Amino acid sequence: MKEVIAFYPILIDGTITTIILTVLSAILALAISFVVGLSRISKFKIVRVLAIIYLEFFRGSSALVQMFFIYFVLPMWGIYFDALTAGVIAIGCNLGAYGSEVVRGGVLAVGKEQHEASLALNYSPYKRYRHVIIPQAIPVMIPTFGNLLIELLKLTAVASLITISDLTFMAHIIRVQTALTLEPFLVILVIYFIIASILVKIVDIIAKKFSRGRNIMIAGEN
Amino acid sequence: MKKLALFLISFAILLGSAKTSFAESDTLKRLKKQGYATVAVANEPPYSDIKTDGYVTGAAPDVARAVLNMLGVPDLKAEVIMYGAMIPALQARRVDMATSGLYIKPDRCESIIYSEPDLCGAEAFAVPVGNPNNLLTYEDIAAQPDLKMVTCAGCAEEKYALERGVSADQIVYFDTPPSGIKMLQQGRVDVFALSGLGTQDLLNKTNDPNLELVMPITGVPIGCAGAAFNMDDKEFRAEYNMALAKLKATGEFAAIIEPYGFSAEATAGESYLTRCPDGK
Repeated sequence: MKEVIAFYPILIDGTITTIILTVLSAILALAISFVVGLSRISKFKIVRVLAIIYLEFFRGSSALVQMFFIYFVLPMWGIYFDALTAGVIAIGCNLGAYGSEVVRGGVLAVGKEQHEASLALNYSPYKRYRHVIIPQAIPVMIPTFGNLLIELLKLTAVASLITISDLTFMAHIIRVQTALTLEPFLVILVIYFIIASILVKIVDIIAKKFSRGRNIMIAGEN
Repeated sequence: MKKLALFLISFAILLGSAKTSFAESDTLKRLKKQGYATVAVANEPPYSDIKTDGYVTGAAPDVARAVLNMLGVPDLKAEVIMYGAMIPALQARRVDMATSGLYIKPDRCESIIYSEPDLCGAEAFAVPVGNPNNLLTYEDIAAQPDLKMVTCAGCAEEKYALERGVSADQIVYFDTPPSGIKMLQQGRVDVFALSGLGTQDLLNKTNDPNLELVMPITGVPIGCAGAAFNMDDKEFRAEYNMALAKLKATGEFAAIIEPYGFSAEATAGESYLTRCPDGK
């Protein structure tokens, strides 16, 4: 264990990289979720079709392959992203596809009478969604988004394969340099768990704000 | 050491200008201007050695540092990446060069180009102590089809095994060498195959009295690694080779690699010209 702890400078670097990757990808994924999710219920067919193509492509192919594609294949066509950007794009687009279904489901879960009432009040589509539908849909979305966020954190582990020096990558380095197996993996297991616990707490703080009397906390409490 | 390098560089410039005008490749100009080269390094001691604070040293990066210094590139920015990502990284110009145990092999010469060999060594096996299956060559593994061997995917050792009659379903692959040793310790495989010094280093670190080293493996060629470059960097490679040859001639080369267990003599007489088809 002492040998592994000696590597704390790169473990700290790896933890920071993992957190940055998680936060940036989550922001991108959230934005994509709303854009694609709302496009799915657009009244224009072309918008709906484009959203479905996006969804099926990013949900239906492996995040790892997407990452390799963005990082190693696109440069051959002159499109060049650094490793972290490539990782954020791949993870964000992938989780954004899952998230879009959460948004769509949340919006559809809002009662039909709410849609009709806001129509009857002559609200523009923007006002209808901004002030009536989405505020009611968010509490439905939060628990699933919380789960996806944890999923996203764990997906960042594969980013080590496109040279991002995240936590998993550092564990591999320590493992090869020391030939220890249990210790480096135990250390990053604990670090991942701590990060995930913090994310759960953050989601619950947000959940409290939006709960409107319902219990939508994701931490395993009664 | 610096003085010597300076002297050699000025000597090289003199020599160059005497023959033709000394024209630098665009790649070298760019590296000199930015003051560093980005170098892909694999995580494989003793080819590379990563310190606890992340500083990359080891035989291959140290040779590359010395050669780049001679060429007037003061710094080396190491990027630790997986073996499988090295060739794509060179092709996509993610890195300026790659070093650390990427063996010079004919099929690789189709996608990248190599410098002259810098690190050569014999092959090795790790087996349970006493070598119960009496494995000394790849042919011995082939002769016992119920045995399993572990090595890395796409590595030279995989090819050696297949060429010598080991069937594909006898071979399992590890992601990193310690995984292979773990499989051997847990009895999932009967033999672990890798470069001699890599295996030796790993066994020393594992320090398991139930494992044993078999080295060298007869019947397979000495494996030679060199620095690898993008296909379009032939001029830069020539410059690199010139500096590497000088480094070898001064004996500084031996001083760099021998502490890591490599032999400078093993590279004598080896060339990418013979190891790559058509001398690419």
